[in-house]
Amino acid sequence: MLTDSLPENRQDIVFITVILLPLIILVGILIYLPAVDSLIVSFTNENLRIRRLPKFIWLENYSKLLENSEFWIVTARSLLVVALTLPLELLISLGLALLLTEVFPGRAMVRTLVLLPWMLPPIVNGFLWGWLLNGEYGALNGLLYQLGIIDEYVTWLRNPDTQVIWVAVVQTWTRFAFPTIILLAGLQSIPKDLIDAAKVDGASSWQSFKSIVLPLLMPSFAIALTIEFIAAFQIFDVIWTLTAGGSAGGAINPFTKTLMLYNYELVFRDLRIGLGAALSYLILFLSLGVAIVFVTRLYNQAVKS
Amino acid sequence: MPLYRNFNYIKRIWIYFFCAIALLWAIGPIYWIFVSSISTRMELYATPIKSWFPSEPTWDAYIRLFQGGGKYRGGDVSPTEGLMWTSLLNTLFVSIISAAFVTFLSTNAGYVFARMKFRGKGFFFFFLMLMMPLPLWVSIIALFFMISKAGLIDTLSGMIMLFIVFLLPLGIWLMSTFVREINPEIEEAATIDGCNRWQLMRWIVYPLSKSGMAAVFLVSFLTVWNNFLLPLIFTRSPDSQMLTVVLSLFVGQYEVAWEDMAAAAVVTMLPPFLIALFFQRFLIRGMTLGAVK
Amino acid sequence: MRSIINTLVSILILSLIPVTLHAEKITFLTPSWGIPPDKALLESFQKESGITVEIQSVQNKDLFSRTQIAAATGQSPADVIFLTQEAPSNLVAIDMMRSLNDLQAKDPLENDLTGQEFWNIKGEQFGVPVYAQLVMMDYNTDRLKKAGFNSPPSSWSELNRMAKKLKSSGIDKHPIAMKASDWSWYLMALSMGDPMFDNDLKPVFANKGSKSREAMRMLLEFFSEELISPEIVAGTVNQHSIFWSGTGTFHQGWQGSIRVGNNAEKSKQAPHVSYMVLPSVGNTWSFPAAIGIAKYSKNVEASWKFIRWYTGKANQKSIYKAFGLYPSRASVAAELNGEGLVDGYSQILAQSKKVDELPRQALWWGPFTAKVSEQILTAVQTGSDSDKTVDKIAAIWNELKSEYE
Repeated sequence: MLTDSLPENRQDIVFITVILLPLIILVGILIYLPAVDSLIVSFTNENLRIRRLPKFIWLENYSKLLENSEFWIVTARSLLVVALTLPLELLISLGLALLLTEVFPGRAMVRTLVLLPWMLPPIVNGFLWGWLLNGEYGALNGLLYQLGIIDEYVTWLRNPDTQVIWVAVVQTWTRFAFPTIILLAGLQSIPKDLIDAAKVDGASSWQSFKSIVLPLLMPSFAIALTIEFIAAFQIFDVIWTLTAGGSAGGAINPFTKTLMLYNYELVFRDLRIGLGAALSYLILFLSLGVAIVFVTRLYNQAVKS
Repeated sequence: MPLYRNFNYIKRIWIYFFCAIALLWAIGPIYWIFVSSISTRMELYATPIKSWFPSEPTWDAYIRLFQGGGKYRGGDVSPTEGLMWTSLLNTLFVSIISAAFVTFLSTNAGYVFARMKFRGKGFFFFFLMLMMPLPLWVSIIALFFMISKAGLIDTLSGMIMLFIVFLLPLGIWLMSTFVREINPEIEEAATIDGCNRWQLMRWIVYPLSKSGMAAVFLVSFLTVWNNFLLPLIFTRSPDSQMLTVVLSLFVGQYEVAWEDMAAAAVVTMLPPFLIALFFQRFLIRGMTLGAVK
Repeated sequence: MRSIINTLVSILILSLIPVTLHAEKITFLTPSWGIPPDKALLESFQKESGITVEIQSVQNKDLFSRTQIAAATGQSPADVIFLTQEAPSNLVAIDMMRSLNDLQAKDPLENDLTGQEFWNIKGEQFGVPVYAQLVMMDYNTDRLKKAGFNSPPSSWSELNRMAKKLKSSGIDKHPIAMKASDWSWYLMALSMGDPMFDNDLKPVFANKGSKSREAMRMLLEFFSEELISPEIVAGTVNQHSIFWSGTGTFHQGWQGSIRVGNNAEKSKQAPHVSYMVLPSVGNTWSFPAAIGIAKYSKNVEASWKFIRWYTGKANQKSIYKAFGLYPSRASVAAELNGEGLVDGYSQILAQSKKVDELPRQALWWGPFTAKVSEQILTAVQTGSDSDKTVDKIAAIWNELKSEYE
């Protein structure tokens, strides 16, 4: 069988090598080499402002980070953002993907329009929502006021708690197009005759959805879930432009500081690149850990079925 | 029969209803961007009644965007003069080429991982995927060093190469999933008919994974289009400028020239919109796999 | 398929061919307000000197990131770099700028160029001053008159009273437009007369009963009494956009802010905006800008020529006319005033006599001042005690100082 070809076939070995070798070399040089370099830096006390030779302090950076309560607070906050964003995002994108699989006139246009938020550059995003949400002359306030829902402008982002909620909303708005595309493509590859056969057998739409579509959609769903988890966990652009200020002073709003902002603070503002590199690796381990759990649980399960 | 027809009709209404909500959610803020781009600053400051379409719309912001030569405007000079066109073309070039390469390469690699067995397959897959969640800054200093030694700083091809490498893991992962869903019986039939691997790719895999490839192309294109850090660090001269960096120029010392940034944003959204519209036909149910029978 | 690949590859190869250069070329890295605004002037410079100037403009904080990454690998991002007041801590400290002492020996800077001392760090001159700006305050004279006050406040407690009257009489809901950040505190502390740091860089602001503590207390009170709009705390507006959108009577501005304030296209406060010399002792600090040469630049002579032209009379005049940035050359300032182009000249002059600089040359100033903003924002959000906040800030200063020294 074609799918069980063994490596002894010379033609196949050539095929595999021609395709994979360049990629492995590229990835090895451009991704792994720099990653190893910064791993080494993470074991030093390098600080660009202090002109001395960096010396090796090994795991001291890591312990300094883990002992500091700030790391844990920031991680908890990142997880909070994920908990708020992910369900919202995935529900919206799944619903949209299902909706847009239906055939109706104007479908192509609607599909494209719905992707527009993702085509907005991140820097514009933050300012846009800053203009929409502000309590002095914001458009959201104007809309609600004119609809009679509120009689006074609300400062939506005044409190740290509401700031995090809005961050989740804006992040969802920014990114929902991505999982929608993936799920759309995934839905396309589900053979229509399977669903039709089930309908003939008397299954309702909901049943056929549950037992046929959902399991077959799992691989794409798992990918979307993992990528969106990483995007939410490593959120930066939205918070930076919406609540962090990001002025030349470099002050970062401590109430919406998540892991990547903390990383930016260490690397670019404090220029403590040793410590910053260590934090980057901690972020990598955390992200990988969760990603691997998602992948092994959902993905492989789905592939098997 | 009449019941069936009613059901279809009701279903249509629901579909349009949900479409309307989806569009409101997605397009609402974008409409505001468009309105901002044709409003004057004072209109944007209006409170509490906001005008949903400016009473005196003006194309000034768009004209300023593409204008050459400094224009005195109450204390500011148009910061993007001469840069808008160049960066638009540069970004278009880099995005399309990167996305095309990534799609091509990851479909091939996706097929290898989906269909073929060989020693170390798991290892190589893991190798390619492992660093996906690595934040870009981790590598940026060393990457900068390598790229500058190779003389590729400030070149579009340097950017393309970097983007391809960073987009590959996701592309390969996606394509391996999509290729796996192709009915293996088709490939069997083809092999029996005497196809080798390359022919298999060309005649079976590519056509059948059109929607997957379209998804990967779109995702890659948009990721490059929106990326800020790579162009900021790896390009310098006005000739190789990319859109996202040009957009950041509207942030002045004291205020953001929002009307201008909004106009630039509208212009920035246009090419991806057209490309996505073009790719829609691939995201519809392709050659169904029932063709085996 | 193959033809497509061929085309792609050839396009790739074509883009690898470098653009040919002619004559001498220097690159100038600057934020958007440092771009020479008069194109004709720049053209004539390029023609006369045979030097091509390539302008690379980015947002200010991105300028730092780009330079810092280049510095980490021992390279220069450009030949000439625009230096803002954060530059000593962000660029000079990382050894990115070249000392201009040798160039100055051959071609000394005139005394006409004020503010050279700011850019002289440990005896080495790192920049030639381009413009000088003082942090100033302006206010809406008309609104103040409506509340019954005919002249600006002479002390901060008076300002406090005036603001409360403005609010209670309904004239202005949030009469003070200041940010929940470092600058607001520095402004109030310095103008109350506290030097904040002594010559040994010790944080005298932390002394018991210091004016800085009083300033912090009053600043936090401005927020808790909502004399400052809560939207500023939310961070979606800054003190300038909120003032120009109509909310606020007292505004923390800068030398040149009334030009925008009185511009009817950009500000609802027009035409009533006027500078006020800071109350009490009235000291302020300046945020100047300069232009310097990057350390690893290979075109030092050409860069120096460009710098001399850039800080020359003609360009400084055009910078003022385009951006409202006050020229560093005293002669140019006098000329512009003679032409009647400087609004509020007398107040600017009066304020310029009361300057008490902050130690921006300290290596750790960048991270310090950012942390000050964070502490103030935290205090505003959580209602912390002002004394504790000042103590925390002092602790941060001492910690950073010991780390860097």
